[in-house]
Amino acid sequence: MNESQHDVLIIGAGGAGLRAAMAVVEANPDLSIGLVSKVYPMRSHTVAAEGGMAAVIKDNDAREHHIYDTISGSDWLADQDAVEMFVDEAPRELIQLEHWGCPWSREDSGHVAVRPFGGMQIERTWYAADKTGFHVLHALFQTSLQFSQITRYDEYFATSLITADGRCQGCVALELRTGELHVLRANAVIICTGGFGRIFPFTTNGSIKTGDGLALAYRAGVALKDMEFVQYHPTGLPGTGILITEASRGEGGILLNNEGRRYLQDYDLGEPLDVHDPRHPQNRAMELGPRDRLSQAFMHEQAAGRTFDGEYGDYVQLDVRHLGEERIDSRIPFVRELASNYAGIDPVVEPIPVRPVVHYTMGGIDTDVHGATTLPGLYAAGECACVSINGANRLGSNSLTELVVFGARAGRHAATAVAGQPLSDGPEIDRQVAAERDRIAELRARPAGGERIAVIRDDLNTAMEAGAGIFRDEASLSACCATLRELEERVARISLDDTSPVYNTELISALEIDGMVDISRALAHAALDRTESRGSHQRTDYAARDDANYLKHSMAYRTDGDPRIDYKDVVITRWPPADRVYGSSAGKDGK
Amino acid sequence: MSDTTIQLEVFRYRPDNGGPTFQSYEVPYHDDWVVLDALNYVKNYIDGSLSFRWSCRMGVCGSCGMQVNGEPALTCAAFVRDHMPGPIRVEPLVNFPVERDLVVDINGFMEKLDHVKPYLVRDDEADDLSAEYLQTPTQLDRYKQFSMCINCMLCYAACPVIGRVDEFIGPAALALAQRYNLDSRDQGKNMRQDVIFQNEGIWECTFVGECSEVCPKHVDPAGAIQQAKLEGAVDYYKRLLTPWARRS
Amino acid sequence: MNRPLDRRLGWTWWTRNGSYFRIFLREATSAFILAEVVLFMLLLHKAGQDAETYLAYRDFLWHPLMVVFHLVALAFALWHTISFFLIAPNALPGQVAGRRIPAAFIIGQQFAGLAAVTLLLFLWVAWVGAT
Ligand SMILES: Cc1cc2nc3c(=O)[nH]c(=O)nc-3n(C[C@H](O)[C@H](O)[C@H](O)COP(=O)(O)OP(=O)(O)OC[C@H]3O[C@@H](n4cnc5c(N)ncnc54)[C@H](O)[C@@H]3O)c2cc1C
Ligand code: SF4
Ligand code: FES
Repeated sequence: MNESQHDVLIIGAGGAGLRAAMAVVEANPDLSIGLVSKVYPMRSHTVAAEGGMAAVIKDNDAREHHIYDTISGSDWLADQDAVEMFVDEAPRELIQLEHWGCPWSREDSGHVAVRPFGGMQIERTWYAADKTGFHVLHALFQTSLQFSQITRYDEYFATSLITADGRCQGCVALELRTGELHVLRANAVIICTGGFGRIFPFTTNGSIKTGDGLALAYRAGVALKDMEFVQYHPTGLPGTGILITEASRGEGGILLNNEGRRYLQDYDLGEPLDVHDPRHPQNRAMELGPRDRLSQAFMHEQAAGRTFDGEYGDYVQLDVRHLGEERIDSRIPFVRELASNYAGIDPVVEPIPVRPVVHYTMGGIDTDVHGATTLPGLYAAGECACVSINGANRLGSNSLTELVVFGARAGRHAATAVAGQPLSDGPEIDRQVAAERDRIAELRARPAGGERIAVIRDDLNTAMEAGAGIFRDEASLSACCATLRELEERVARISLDDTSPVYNTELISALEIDGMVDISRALAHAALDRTESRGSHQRTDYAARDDANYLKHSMAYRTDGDPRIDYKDVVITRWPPADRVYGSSAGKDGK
Repeated sequence: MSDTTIQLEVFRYRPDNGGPTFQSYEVPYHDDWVVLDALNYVKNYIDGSLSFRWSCRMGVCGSCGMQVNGEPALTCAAFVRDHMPGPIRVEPLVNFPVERDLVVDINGFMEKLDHVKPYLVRDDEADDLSAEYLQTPTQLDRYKQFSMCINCMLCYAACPVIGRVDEFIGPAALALAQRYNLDSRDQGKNMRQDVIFQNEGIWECTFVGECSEVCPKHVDPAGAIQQAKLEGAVDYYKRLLTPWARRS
Repeated sequence: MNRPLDRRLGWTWWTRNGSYFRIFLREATSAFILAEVVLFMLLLHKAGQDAETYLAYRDFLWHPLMVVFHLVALAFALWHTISFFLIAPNALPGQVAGRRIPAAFIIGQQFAGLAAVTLLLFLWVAWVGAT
C-alpha cells in the first residue's frame, strides 16, 4: 500500500482548507503539508458563493455591531467568545485576501466597497461583484501554488481517519485516477470538507457537498454539534435550486406575493419604504431580515394561498427591475446570467421566481475556538465545523469570513501542536488500514442486483424534506428517524454497476451515501430531542424559544444503535439572551 | 413529465477493458434539462458505470466541460432542447488524454497554470496587513475580464494549436498571466514574461479566436494572447535596440 | 491499469469539425495571396521585356480560369482582412486614459484606414496614368 507522511494533513481544499494550508506555512515554513481533495481545489463549492464576505472596515461601523448582529442572528445559540474573536480577526483576514489578489469591488477612492446584507444593521459586506466565492477561492488557490511545502493530493477521496495512542494520525484515501488506497500519515489532521446540503432534495449545494468530513469525525468518536439547524435561503430558483444571492436584496430587490404585496411587512420585519426612497433598502428590516425568518414567512404565505403556483412548486417573486439595467449589470451580473440561462427570464424586465432552498448547514464537527476537536490531533474548520459562531441561524456573508478566520486559526494551532511528535507505528495502525481496505473490497465485490445508490439517495432526500424541513414536529421527526434506520440497512445492500478501478465515481457515491445516512440520523435525532423553536429549527409543536432548557448546543455521538444526544452550555459573555427584533423599531445593537 | 425521449450517444472508454466505443441511451426529454441532467439520469437509473465530472450545476466550478455534438461546452449550461430532436453525441474534451469515459487528464493543464506564476508578486519585504492596497474601479476594470476564468478548458479543446504543440501554454493560462500583469497591485510582470515567451507555441497562435468564441465566461483569452504577443514583441525590440538597459 | 487514450488527429486535425476546418481554410487563404503577389512580380518582370512577352503574359492573366482565380483570391483576401479587423479590438489593451474604447470604434477605424489607403492608391495610379 502507498504510504506518505506529512506534518499536517488537510482534508478539503475549499476556502477553509486552502487558508489553513497557508496558515501552517506562515506559522512554520519548515513543516510539510498534505492537501487532500476529492475534486481539484478550484472546483470546491466555495466557488459558488456569490454575495460577499463580512468584516468591519468602514468608519461608520464598529466591532460591537458585527458581534451583536451575529449573536442575535444566531438566536443566541452562538458562543460569544468565539464570535468576538471572529469579528476581531475578520478585517485582517480580508485584507490578507486583498493582498493575495482578490479583485474586490472598489469605491472611486480605491478603497474596498461594502454592501448591505440580511440581518446586518450596517453595510459591511465586502464583495467582488456577485462572484465573491469564485474570486476568493481562485485567489487562495493561485496564491497557494507558490508554496512548495504544500503537496496536493487532487482527486483523492478520504475514506476514514487513522487514530492511534489516543490521537488522530492521518487518513486513508482513495485515489480516483487509479482506484488505489493510500495511507497518508500526519501528526495533525484538519478536516475542511464543507457542508452537507445534499442530504436534502432541493439545495443550492453542489454534488460534492455530502458531508464526508462529518462522517469521518463522527465515526472517530467526535460529537456532531447543533446538527438540527439547517438554513433555508429564501431565494432559490424553483426546479434547479440555483441561488439568487441575497446581494440582490442588498442592492434593493423586493419580495412580492401573488397579490403584488411586499408580504414581509406582515411578519414583524418592519415597514416597507418605497423602492425609490433613498433610505431603501433598510438594514435589518423587510427584505434584509435574517434568512430563517424570511423562509418561514414564505411558508405562511404558501399556507394562505398567496404564492404563485409553478411547475416546480409554489414560488414568490423577487423584483429587481427598479434597479435598472446598468446597476444590475455592474453589481449583480451573475444574477442576470443565472436567471436568463436557467429560468429563462431577464430580471431587467421581469421579476425572478424564487422559493426557499436548503443552503447552509450550521451544525458540524464540534470544535473549540482553535478548531481543535476533542480527539487530539484532529481539527476542523469551515462549513463542516461548528465552533459555533452561527448558532441557530447563520447570517449571510459570515460564512466565507468564517472559512478564513477559523481556517487560519486551525492551521496555526495545528502547526504549533505537532512540532516534534513521533508518529505511532505498529499493529493498531495496520489493523485500521486493513479494515478499511476490506470494507471497500467488500462493497466492490457485492453481487449485482442490490440496492441502487440513486434510489436510496432519493429516499433519503424525501425523508429529510418531509421530516426535517422548515417546519417540523414530533410526528414528522419520528417518522424520519424510522426511515433513516431502514435506509442504514439498505445502504449495506448497495451494489455497483461499475467494476473498473479507474475513476470509479459510482464507488465514491456509495461511500458518500453511507456517510450521509449516518449524519442525517444525528440531525433527525437532535431535532427530535430539541423541544423548542429557535432560529432555523421551528417545531410547530413547541413554537417558543426555551432558554431555560435549551440555551445549549446539542451534541450527537455515534453509537451502534440510535445516536446519543447530549448537551453543552452556550458561552455567554456580554450579551444575555433577548428578543430578536428586526424592522425599523430595532435600535442599534438591540438597544 | 412528458413521454418524449431523446437519444444520447455517449463516448465510453474503460482502460482496463478494450478500446473506445459509443453507447446509446434513451432518456426522458424535459425542456429545462441540460445535457448534464441527462447524463445524471443515465448514471442514476440506467448505467451507474458511466463516469464524468461535475459539481456546481451552475456554470461556475468548471468541471463539466465535454464535447456536445462536436463542440466544446459546459454540459450544465448546454440545454437538451437546443439539440432536439437528437441524438446528442457526448464525448470527452478533445486535445486531452482520456482517462475513462468522459473524464480527461488535466494535470498538464494544471502545470501550465502553475507556470505563469498566477499570484501577486510584490517588492515590499513584509506584508503589512493594517490596510488594503488601493485600486480604483478603473484599474480593476483593466484586468477584471481576465480574472473571470473558471478553468473549464473549453478553450483548450477549441484550440487547433494545442492539438499539435504540446508545450503551448494555451489560452486560459495566458489569460491568467495577463490578469496578473495588468493588476495595478502586481510587480511580477518581468518574471512572467520570461515564462510566457520561453515556449514556442504562442507564436503559432495565428489569432483565430476560436478560444474566445467557446469561452462560457467571456474571458476572451484570444485577446489576452494577442496583447501578450504585442507586449512581447515590443519588449524584444526594446531590448534589441537598447542592450545597455538592463531589465529589472 | 491507467491507459490514457490519445485522441489527437495528427496532420488531419483540420478535419475534426467545422470550426477547425474554417480555421484551416482561413490560414490557407494566405497561399492565394502569396500566389497573387508572385503573379504581380512576374508582371513587373515581363513589363521590363519586349512588348510581345508582356502582352502574352497579360492575356494569360485575363484567361477566364485566371479571372476566376483572381476573384477567389480577392474574396479570400477580403474575408481574411475583415475577420482580422473584427477580432482586432480584442487584441488591444482596452483602455485609453481610463476609458474603455468601444470595439465598434476600433473596427470602424480599421475599415476607414483600409478605405483611405485604397483611395490614395487609386488616385496615385490615376495621376500617374494622366501624366
Ligand atoms: C450557492 C452558494 C452561495 C453562497 N454564498 C455565500 C456568500 O455570499 N457569503 C458567504 O459568506 N457564504 C456563502 N455561501 C456559503 C459558503 O460558500 C460555504 O459555506 C463555504 O464556501 C464552505 O467552504 P468550505 O471551505 O468549508 O468547503 P467547500 O468549499 O465546500 O470545500 C470542501 C472541500 O472538501 C473536499 N472534500 C469533501 N469531502 C472530501 C473527501 N471525502 N475527501 C477529500 N476531500 C473532500 C472537497 O473536494 C473540497 O475541496 C454560499 C454557499 C452556496 C452553496
Ligand atoms: S478562458 Fe474561458 S474557456 Fe478557457 S478555461 Fe477559462 S473560462 Fe474556460
Ligand atoms: S457543473 Fe460546475 S460548471 Fe458545470
